[in-house]
Amino acid sequence: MLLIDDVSYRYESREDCTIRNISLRMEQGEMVLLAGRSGCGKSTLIKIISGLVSEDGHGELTGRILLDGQDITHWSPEQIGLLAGTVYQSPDDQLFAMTVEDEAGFALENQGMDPELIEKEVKETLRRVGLDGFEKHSIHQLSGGQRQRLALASILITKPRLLILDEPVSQMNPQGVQSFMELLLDLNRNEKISILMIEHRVNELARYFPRLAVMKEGKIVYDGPIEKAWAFLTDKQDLGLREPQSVKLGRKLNLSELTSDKNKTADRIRMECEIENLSPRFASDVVPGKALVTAEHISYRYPGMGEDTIRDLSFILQEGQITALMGFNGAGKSTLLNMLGGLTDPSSGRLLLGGVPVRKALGQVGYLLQESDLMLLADTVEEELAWKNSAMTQEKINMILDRLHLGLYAKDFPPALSKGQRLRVVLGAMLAKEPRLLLLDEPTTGQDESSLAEIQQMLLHFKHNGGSIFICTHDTELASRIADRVILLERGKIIADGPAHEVLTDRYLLQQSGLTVPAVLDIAEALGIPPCLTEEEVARYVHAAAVGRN
Amino acid sequence: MSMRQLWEGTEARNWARDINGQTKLIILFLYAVLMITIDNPRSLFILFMLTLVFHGAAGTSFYKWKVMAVLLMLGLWGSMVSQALFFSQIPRTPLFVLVSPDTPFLGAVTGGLFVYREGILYGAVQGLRAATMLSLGLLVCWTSDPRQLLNALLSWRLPPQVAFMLVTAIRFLPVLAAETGEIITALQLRSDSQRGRTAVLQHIPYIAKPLLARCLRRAQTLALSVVSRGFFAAKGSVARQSWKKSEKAGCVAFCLFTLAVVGSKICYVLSEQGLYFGLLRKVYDISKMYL
Amino acid sequence: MVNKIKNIIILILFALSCCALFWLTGSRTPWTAFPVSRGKEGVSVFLGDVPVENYDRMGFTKAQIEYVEAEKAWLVGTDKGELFLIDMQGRQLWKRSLGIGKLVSLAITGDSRLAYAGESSAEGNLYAVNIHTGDIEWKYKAADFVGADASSRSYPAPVHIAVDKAGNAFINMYRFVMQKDGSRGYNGRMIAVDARGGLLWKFPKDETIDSWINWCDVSDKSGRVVLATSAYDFRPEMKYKNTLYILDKTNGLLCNETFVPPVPPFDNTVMRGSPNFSEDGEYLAGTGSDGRGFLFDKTGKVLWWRFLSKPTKVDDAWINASGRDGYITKEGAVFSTINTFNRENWQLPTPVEHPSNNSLFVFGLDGKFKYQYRALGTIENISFAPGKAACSVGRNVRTHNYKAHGAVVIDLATGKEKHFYPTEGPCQAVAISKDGRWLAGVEAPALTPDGKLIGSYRLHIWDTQAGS
Repeated sequence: MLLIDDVSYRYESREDCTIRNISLRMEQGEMVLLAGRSGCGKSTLIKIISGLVSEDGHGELTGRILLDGQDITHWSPEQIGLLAGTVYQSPDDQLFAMTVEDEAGFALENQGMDPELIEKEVKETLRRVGLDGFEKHSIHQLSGGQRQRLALASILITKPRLLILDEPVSQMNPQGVQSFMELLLDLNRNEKISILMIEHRVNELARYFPRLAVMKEGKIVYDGPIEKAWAFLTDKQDLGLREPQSVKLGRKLNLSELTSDKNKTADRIRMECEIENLSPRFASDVVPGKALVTAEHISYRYPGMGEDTIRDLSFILQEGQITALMGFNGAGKSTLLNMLGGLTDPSSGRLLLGGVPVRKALGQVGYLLQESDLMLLADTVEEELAWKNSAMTQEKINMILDRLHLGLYAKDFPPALSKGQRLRVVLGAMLAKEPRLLLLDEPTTGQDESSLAEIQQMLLHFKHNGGSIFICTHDTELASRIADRVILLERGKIIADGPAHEVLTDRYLLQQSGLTVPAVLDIAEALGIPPCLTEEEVARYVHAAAVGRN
Repeated sequence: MSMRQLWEGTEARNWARDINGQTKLIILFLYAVLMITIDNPRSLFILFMLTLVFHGAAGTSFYKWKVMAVLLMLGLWGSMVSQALFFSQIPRTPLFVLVSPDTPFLGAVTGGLFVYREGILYGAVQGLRAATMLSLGLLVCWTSDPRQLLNALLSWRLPPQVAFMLVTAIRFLPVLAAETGEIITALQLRSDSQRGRTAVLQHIPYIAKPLLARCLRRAQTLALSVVSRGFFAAKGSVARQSWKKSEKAGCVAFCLFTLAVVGSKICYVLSEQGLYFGLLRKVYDISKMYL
Repeated sequence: MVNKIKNIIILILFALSCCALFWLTGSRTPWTAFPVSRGKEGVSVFLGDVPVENYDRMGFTKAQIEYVEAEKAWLVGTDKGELFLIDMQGRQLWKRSLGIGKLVSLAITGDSRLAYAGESSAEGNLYAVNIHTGDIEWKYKAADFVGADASSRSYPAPVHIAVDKAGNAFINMYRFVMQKDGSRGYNGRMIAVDARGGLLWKFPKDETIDSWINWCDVSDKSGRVVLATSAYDFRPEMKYKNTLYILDKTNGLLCNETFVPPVPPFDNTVMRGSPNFSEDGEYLAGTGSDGRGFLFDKTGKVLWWRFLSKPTKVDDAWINASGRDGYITKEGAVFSTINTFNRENWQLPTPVEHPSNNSLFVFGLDGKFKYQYRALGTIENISFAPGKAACSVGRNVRTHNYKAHGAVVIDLATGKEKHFYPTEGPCQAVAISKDGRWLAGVEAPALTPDGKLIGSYRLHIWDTQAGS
């Protein structure tokens, strides 16, 4: 179906090749997950396949690409577009029309097809992606997931043989990912469309893809069955992949076989490890501290809406704690965060920070938006850290740069850094102001494993220095690692509020809140040990395999 | 209604949305020509009010009316106030003295600050020109799918690349508006003062860079997306919405009207320069009275 | 609720803004933004930007106005070379840009069909313009009659036009000449043209007059045309030394010529804004620059003369108020004087104002003094209606009395001021409607010696019956 044969590419402005001697073969109906850190050349490879770099004529392209047996190396993007369609990360950026039917029919219109036929095809394609009945809707009326489906429909309508997806689920919540992936699986199974997806959230996607290709510095360093990749990835943190928790657990326990399958992992542990029957050792209660934030019967209603988004919430956030706020999309998490960040006032009730209304104590609150890139405002990383911070000195900047591992990038243009680096810069700038309360909105979205680890480290460091964090996330793995307390929100009301371990091990609550049940929790249950959320916890009950992998 | 919804074009009444993109662009263009050509304040006012009538007929929502009213008032009063104060043509009749030339320091520096009658009227004329085009431009934005406009431009044999660039601006308006709001929020959040955390105006100077950076990235993705969907190699985009004969006739009539206006204005201007024909005195009179 | 109120307030403000715009744009004068402003007694119409002259300079911004009975409108010629027809409400009926030069003379035919306009330019065109349409029907070049040598300094121009009842125009074509060697001279010629543009005759036929000819008049009754010379630089070798030349209007042949002996301290007698025939063509009234008013018979014979302003020596300087206009009305012979001047140099200061300056003098035809009307500024021109004389009052370079500027209507029988309409800048020209009800004057901008800009170039139209 697709054969990439010894392809190298060098951008005109660069000395070295961005893509180096890559060879990849995909069969008809095959699904391949292509992973790698930011800047490893994944996007360039997509551009090469789509004909977007050969077209500009400025770079140097060697090797050849065959699609359906035809050499498309020097084809125009339009020609290739008939055989291979590309869906990008953000649907907002790639949708062109205002209504769903116009967007879906765009490619066919460009082919000069008869309007009646287009209408028919649009209807059929929208049905395939689950958007039937939405023909006349504005694209802005669709949810993020629906827009991504529409982006997919706009590609599928030309009946491509190969579908290339560039981080299409990076902004989605777990339910969104699941739903989108099921759609792709259907297309793959029913229509034999080959799918090449770029994504480093390997932990969530592993179960959908039989094959994984990993890129590093312009080369494919692994290409093979996904289940065999885990062994290869051991000690290769530099590849930045976020592996499934069961793989990480297997590695921690030194199992002879690493697998993303929870049941297999549990079986393997039973076979290879000794399980101790210990009682739980973790603290079951959150240690009460000094109250930092007090919410008293706060409600919020958006103008023009019929009902409250936040309904009569009362809670206290204590100093020196990390509190995770979790729940479905639309549960009111961001609204609550905005109120804490002083961006909106409660419609009723009182919200106090250190005894004074939050609005009057905004200087003590740092707020990191989900789209943290928006918060990059300066020309260099150094300037970014010192932005509107009169207390910042060069010494402090150097210290923060060291802590962020960004010393080498001090003079770089922040938006040009990798995603993880960008987030760290903004987070560093926030922390440099030494807020009493730090608000984080989905900070781990799109982050690779090493980035995640660094962010975790920074947050814990902040906490240990007396800072308080209120973090809004879907990532149960992250919450279980850093949160002291978890608040679950559903339709504007708190449905659970307690120690993180207690809340996150309640399978019913997690499902009710649309959260992914951590693989480790399932494995712990299967092993009959007390509920665990992290590999470290499991390791306390299970002694690592004596005879493990080599 | 969110900032994004504000710039969407999907809630207008059907008749307004169904008008062909070519018709809308032609009307917009001809209106612009009229705005440049006509100097008569009352005629400009009538043309301006006409655009508001169009808005009413197209079902512009209350919220959009509010936003448009604010924009239009800013333009109109801004123009009138600035011209009232700094009108430099002659004759000019001071209505009020704000700073007398005898006022110590300020009077000497400014030479006196007056509110000029002619300045107010001149400002109103200039303001009306801008306001009319703003109002009509918003109407086209709020009642059009970018595809409509794209088809229109392509049907006029405009290179697809150019057409795409023109229309992309409209396509991105809702996104741009939403992003501007988000960037202001980000700026507020990164501000170090209590005031900066709630203020909006003080952050405006810093919006451009992040907004531009994001727009460039988004525009690049959009371009890649449409390229791979064969847009620039289109075999002749199909106008899914046919250009009705009645609309064509309307455009022709409006075009003729505009040509007549421009023609008579040109005749008048030429007559001012010496190329005068007594036979055309009626034309000159019309130009003087209404244009 | 608060938001709702805010929204409603915004929309109410917008509606009020629209109402304000409706009111602002509702000017009753539709053309351009602000050409006409209205006062209690009339309107004023902006005539365009002209260079602002210093208040004390000799030559000054001018304008020409004629009342057109058939159109009930004012024909205005400007220093910008534009001819306007403007109705009583200040509406511009048409505007012609005739050329690049200043319009220096204007006359209309009795039937109001044609206007003759003279322009000071390289060609010195005379235009015949259809008053109703604004079309140019024909034109002549003064350069063809008085020369157009580029080395000579000044432009040729039809400096004055007189029209008879048949619509024939009698035009003084003139140019001042300064040679490279510094010698100065005059080139003048009168031509007669019929309403269709046919050249009737030239005077002199084969040469030019070596004197300044600034004024002429025609009489249907006597069939005569008169032209006066105004050569300040009087030389013995000049051929045309006489003061008046009276011609047969049908063929341009010289009928009579008159030499008016000068009075000390003057070397010759100069008539710059006169003479003019009486209605019956029997008399001519003229005023000399030396300050004398004359009554001539139709042959040019001096019947009598009177000192309007006698040159007087004060502090060793001869001061005088030059005479300029001379007309004969039913109420008698009307003469005018202008500012007080130092005989040595126009621009030198004078110790005092001459008591007869800036005045209108009326004498009976028998030479009996009736009255003197003294204005506070120079009477720039006079326009007559039955029983009334309208005068434009311009600068007074001696007193700098800016309040003097304006248009004044005088009862010719009594010399009493009937109306005075002040203007900010000097009023440089005036015309009165045939029935004496309407008055139009052109105001010019000026830069005062203390650096202030006063006035602007605009036409004022006053209704003398307004408010009555």
